[in-house]
Amino acid sequence: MSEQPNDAFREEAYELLTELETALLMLEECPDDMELISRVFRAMHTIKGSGAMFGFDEISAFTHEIETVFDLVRNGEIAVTKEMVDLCLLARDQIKAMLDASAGEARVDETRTEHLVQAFREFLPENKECPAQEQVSQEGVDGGQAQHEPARKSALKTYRIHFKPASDIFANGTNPLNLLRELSDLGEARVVAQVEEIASLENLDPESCQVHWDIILTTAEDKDAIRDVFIFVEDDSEIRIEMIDDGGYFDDEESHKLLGEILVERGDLRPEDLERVLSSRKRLGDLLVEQQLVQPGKVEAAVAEQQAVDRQRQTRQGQEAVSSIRVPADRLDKLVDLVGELVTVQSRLSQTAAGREDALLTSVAEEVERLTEELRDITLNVRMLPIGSTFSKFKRLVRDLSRELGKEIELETSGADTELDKTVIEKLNDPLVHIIRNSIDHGIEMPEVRQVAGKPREGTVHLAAVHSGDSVIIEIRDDGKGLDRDAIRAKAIERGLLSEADDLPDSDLFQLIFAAGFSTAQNVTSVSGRGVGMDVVKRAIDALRGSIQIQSEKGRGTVIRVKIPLTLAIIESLLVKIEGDHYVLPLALVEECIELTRQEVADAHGRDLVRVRDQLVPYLPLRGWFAIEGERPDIEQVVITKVNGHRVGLVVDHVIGEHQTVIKSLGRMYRDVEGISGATILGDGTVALIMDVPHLVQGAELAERNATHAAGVC
Amino acid sequence: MSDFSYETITGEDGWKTAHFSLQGELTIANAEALRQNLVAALEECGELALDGSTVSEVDLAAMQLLCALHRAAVARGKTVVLRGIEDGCWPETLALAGFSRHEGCVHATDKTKCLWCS
Amino acid sequence: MAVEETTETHQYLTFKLDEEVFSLTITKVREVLDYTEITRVPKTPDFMRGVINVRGGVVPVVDLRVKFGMPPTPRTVNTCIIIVEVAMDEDTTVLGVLADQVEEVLEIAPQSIEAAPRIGTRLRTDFIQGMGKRDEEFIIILDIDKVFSGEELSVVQGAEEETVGA
Repeated sequence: MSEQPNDAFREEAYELLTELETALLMLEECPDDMELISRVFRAMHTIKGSGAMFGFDEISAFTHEIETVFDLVRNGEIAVTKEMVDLCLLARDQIKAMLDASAGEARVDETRTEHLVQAFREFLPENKECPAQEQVSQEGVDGGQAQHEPARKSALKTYRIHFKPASDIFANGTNPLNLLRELSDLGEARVVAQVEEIASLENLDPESCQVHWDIILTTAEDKDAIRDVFIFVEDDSEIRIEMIDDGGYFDDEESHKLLGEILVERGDLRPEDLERVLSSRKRLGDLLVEQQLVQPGKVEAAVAEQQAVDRQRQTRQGQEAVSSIRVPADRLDKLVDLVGELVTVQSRLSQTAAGREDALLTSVAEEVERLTEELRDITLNVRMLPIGSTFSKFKRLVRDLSRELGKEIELETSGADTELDKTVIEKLNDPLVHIIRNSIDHGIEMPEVRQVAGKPREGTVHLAAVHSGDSVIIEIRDDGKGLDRDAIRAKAIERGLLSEADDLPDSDLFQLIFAAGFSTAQNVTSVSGRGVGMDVVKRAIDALRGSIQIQSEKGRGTVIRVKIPLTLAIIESLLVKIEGDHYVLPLALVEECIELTRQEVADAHGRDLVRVRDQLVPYLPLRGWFAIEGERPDIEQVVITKVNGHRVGLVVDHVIGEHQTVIKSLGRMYRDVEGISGATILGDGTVALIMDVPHLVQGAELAERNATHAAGVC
Repeated sequence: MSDFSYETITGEDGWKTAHFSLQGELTIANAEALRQNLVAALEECGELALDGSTVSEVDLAAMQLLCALHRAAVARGKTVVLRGIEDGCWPETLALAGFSRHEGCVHATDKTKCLWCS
Repeated sequence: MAVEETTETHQYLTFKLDEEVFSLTITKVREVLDYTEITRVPKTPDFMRGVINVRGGVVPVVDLRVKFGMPPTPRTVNTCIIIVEVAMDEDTTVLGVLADQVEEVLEIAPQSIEAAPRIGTRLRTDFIQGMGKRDEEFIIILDIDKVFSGEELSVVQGAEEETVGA
């Protein structure tokens, strides 16, 4: 139980680090953008504050060092430079290392921490160090309050306490100071003594207490704990404890400023008065009035203005006031699993209902089918996230890599709000990194080379994501030197993947890059390794039931297109039967089904081709491919599929119909089986195998090529 | 031994200042004694200069008393200056009791005149 | 060496593969099912019979007889599928093992277990955890984890020869 807040902090911290990185990268481009500076500062401030609160002292202290410097930036005392951004990015990495270490992963390199701290201190004018130190404990709690995480809000609350003891409290032997001290022990307290009721000197009875207090206390304790402090004086004193709702403009430093800024701008408040007042923690508006710095009416007006500005800002940022809750990912997975099982059982229900002549049963079954479909769609949707966060991670990658290689490269993105299943996004990360690395390493040329070629010095890598049917297409485009067709051909021939006589269209030729061990890179750089990347990429994309295509023009650039189905868990399939076995294949790949008679097979003279209207389409006799025993029936069915632009038929005995397939993995034992990508459970409880059509097709094409060549070459 | 006596110094212009070198415990136990001296001094002089640097202990009653003094002085157009409260027992107790402030209290129309804000 | 690995519970499930009696430590056994329709997966080694549906999950079924060099398990009224948990590459995998007949759960004290003989069984000695004494005879206690150790499992026969001529 005690681990939860720590995990929540870590989760939030990782997100903040992402935000920090994004903002820093943008800041590098626009060093004067105050909004970006604020974003960076806020991220640091929050990490520092919550870090302190959850006992991540090392992280908090380290972040404090950086925040101190950035505070100066925020106040306009020092400017943002490339060196500073570099340093901040390194610091951000170090904080991440600290977070990882706290989760039990690799240890932190403390000399590096020291080194970074020293580097940051260089930015400070000497005398600034002291005030920064004093503020640590104060801001430690500030940071904790400027929080947006619900879990943490419940941890720390702020109360306003009004304490007016009876005047004879001293006589009873109670020293109010002790009570105040006890309160301070509960958390951070700001005590203000109200002295207006103290009699004038001549009339004062020094042994009576004429002081009362207003205290602002921030604590993890609840109201009862506070009441307990006053338990012995309750009856004789006036005690009021109110929890202050910080949904308003109380704790948010940002809002304070806005309100204050508005008043200053309007000339209703002097800047130095604002500064002084901000260091106190009461309601800004109240304070200003209390201090008679501004009249109540003016504060009202300014608040109204502030709210209007806030609203406009939010619309501009495109932020919807969406309420959301955090859900552990595995809980969602469980939900998806259950929905999957529901789908299976529902199809059994439909099957059963179809077999009986019961109108009532049929209509109920239809209703259940409708609801199940909707539930399925919504549940699968729940796991969808925009790919934008993955894209922004790559900005850092591109920046660092291009620096390292001495190239100038810009990463552009589009379609960042295209949504994909969470798991898919995670699994896409590594393949995309590989592809981008290749583009940067082997694709984009050195700036001088580019100039000579008449290209702009700066190369561009463009990442785009777009929905297409029930898939997502992710495109990585670069304006580099493109693929060397001849080199690839030569390499392929060398590796026996191709023969001299073969004449492949480019798109197929480029696919050979994905064969294991294939690399035409002259130098193996530390960046992209030995061409180990591409076959791993292909396997990862295959595991996602996706496809990858390459287009390239020498000298102009390369485009790599990755197509991934939107959901991993449930797909619409076509159920077919061969001998006694059932198979399913994704409906999205199916174009049509036609009959194949014995006669037609004979007419084709041993070639596996079938005439479809005016075209000859090759087919794969799955019986042979799957080594299924038994006689071929006289009439078979050919399921015409379209894969990677090619039409290929798959021959089965019967086509049964559409099927909602809940994908089940076959497990480790069947990991390397070709042509089958999983299994599903049919309505009657038996297991049907899911065909991996792209694999089957590729395997067939390769076999055919080898066959024609073995036949053709003497 | 607490000492709340004061020394009257008359300036050239006839302006009388009462100098208090407060010693010992400035607490409720001695508050009445101090009060009486303060009343007398206020009567007699135009300014009271209090040096708290040799005070060993201060409590709420004392602080309250000093506030009362200040009010009385301001009402009469007289001045009270409190020195030596930056160290020793003062800062902690002042903060705890909520007397350290940036602004004066509601009575202080001119902030620069608050006793605790010098 | 195998003897040291006996678990806390000294209970073993005995079953027959043809006429030979084997046993497995009960901690590895999840349940015993009647023989049910097995869906073949194409292009897999002979000892991998296929997959079955166990309460919505897909479980591979293996023919130990084939793995041990005996003729394949026939389908009879007594044929069962023993569902076991096997440790594989730091994970546990659930598998079904075909048995001609399942006998009983037997208590065998550690003193009654002897080390595997070097010769005399057709099995590799590392598959054998020990020899347990029951009445007057000895029963082979299988080390099911070793039987399914990594490399042999994922081997796919057949396909490669036909395709890539690398």
